[in-house]
Amino acid sequence: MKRAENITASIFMVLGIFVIKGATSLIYMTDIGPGPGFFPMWLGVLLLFLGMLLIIQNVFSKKKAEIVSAEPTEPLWPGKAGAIRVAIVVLSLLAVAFFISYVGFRVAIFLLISSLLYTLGKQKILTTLSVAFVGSFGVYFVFTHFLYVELPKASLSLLSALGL
Amino acid sequence: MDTLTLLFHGTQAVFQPLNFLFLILGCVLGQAIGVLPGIGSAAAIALLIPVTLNLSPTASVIMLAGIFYGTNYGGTITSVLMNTPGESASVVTAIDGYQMAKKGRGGPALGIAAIGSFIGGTVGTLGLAFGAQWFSDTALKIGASEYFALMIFAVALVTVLATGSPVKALLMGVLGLLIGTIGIDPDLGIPRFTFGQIKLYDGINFIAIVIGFFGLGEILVNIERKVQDTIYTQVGSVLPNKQDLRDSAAPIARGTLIGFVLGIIPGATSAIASFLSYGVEVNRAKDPSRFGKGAIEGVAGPETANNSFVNANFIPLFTLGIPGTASIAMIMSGMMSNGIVPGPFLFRDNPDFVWTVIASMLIGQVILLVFNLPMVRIWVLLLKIPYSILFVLILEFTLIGAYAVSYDTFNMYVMTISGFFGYLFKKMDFPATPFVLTLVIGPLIEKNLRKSLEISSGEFAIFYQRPMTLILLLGAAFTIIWPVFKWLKMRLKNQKESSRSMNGGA
Repeated sequence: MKRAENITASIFMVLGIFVIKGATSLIYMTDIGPGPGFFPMWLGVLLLFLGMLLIIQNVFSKKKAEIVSAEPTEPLWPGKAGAIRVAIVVLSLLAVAFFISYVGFRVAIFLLISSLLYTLGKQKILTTLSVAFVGSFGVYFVFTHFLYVELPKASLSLLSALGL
Repeated sequence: MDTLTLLFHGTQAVFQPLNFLFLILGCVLGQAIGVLPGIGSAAAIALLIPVTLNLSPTASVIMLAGIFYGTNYGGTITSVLMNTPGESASVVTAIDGYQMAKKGRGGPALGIAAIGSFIGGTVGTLGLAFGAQWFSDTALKIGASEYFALMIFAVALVTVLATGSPVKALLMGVLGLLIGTIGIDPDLGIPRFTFGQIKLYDGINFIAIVIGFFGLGEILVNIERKVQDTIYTQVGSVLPNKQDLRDSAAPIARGTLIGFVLGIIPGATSAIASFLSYGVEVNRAKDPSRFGKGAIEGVAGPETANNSFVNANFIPLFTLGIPGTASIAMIMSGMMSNGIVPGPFLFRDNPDFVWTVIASMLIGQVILLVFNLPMVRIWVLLLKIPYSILFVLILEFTLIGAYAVSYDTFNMYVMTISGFFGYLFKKMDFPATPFVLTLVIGPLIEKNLRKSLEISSGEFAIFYQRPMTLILLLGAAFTIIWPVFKWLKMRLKNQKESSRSMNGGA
């Protein structure tokens, strides 16, 4: 845990330095008051300081293992299977974000729901397809017809010709 | 005519068939939209403004206002049952509400939220009816330095009271502020941290980030273990028990006051009201460690505060013509589109309109309460859906919510990446609440800080020469220093005890 925290704190410190550097290229003070660089500059300084503080806190804190009871605790990070599940969800969403303007909401969401339900949800094929159909075509209909929320349509000519 | 007579005439007008129909429609739509994650009242109102152009101005604004306050009722449901806040004001409700739902007490959480919302909303509207003129005079006296100090106070409360390390909480708070600086500088029009990307000129949409952080982040934590089907099966009785009501009475009273006071200040947000109320409740609790684990006070206070806020928010709009929030700005836009100009002359020039709308807000609270408690059971039916199916549908709504904020697929990327970071931060116990609060109010903090320093020609004396500013900033400093003092005291005590036991052992 502490190793992960120290790495995160270091990232915050690097971010702080980056922000300070970025803020110096902006105007710090104008004739009438603070400029665009004023606020970010101090935020960068705070990030750097707090990141450092977290590392110092971790370095100087006593080893808790002696104090904390020896109860088995859940590991911080998931095993391989868990990491794969997380990766599948994140990558699937990024894929939808990328492809949705080409294939449209209905196709993208149909594929998203059916693939996730089948792989992670372990649902039967009929349930998978039914939920995917309602979740994509049904939701699209409700949002566009009743809530007037325009959802992306396909830009690919083939799908566009099909009214998707 | 006195206020009561005007309100009575307004009430009669509300019961005209068309006005009443659109009041019910507004409440139902608001409730439904609030349930849908990511589709906030501002977007919903904006979408419906064109529809209202064929209606009378009174019916239009009755419906738009109904959506506005109805959304808050609905937003609570997804916050509590799914940990997916529909509105930024409901973010804080998710902290304890969701924990209650996980323990099978989602029903009382929603019940107390509805009761608190009703009380807060009703008192807020009565305050609008009886004190609009007085409030307009008072609100005019509050300057930029006071706004700045008030927001810093709210941030201090939330940061310090977040569970876990205060340093981590502060880091998250600063991160939120930093993300808020991305985009075009509002004063000089210079791009900041945009890396030449036009998409970033308007900043990163905080609703997309919040949906990712809270909605997707939670799903990733759940999915990592394995897909479980029985996470939300038990919600218990919908009505709170006597103990719940006793525990919630004071938070509801305090939430009403906090929401109302903040509601009359243009620039404050309902998120500040709910976060501040939450902070106050944690601070006043005999056992603050219960918060974050399903304390009903953590639902009652914030939910009351945000509904009281929402209704009081009409005061600056109706009396000064100043929209306090994005949703109110949309309602103002709806009024203008219908030929009604909000501002000091509204009560004089359009008394029928304004008193009918105010009366509709009172009746709307009753409608929402009546709809809400029985309807909670209908929403609870959603819990029957297996989580292995539900999580995919929530994922879909997070995508729709992020997209519909500004009709831009870019926000889908923002939501997904935020969700992944939300997951990582959650794993390492970096609290999300300070991040979200500063993310929402960060631009306001910067704006008022800069405005204060512009007024004082760069002199920081403005922060200690104005009494209210000084009191609020001292309150913020005390809020941060007090837990550190307590922590040091406890550490010294532990050290003394351990050295005593070592000496005894030797």
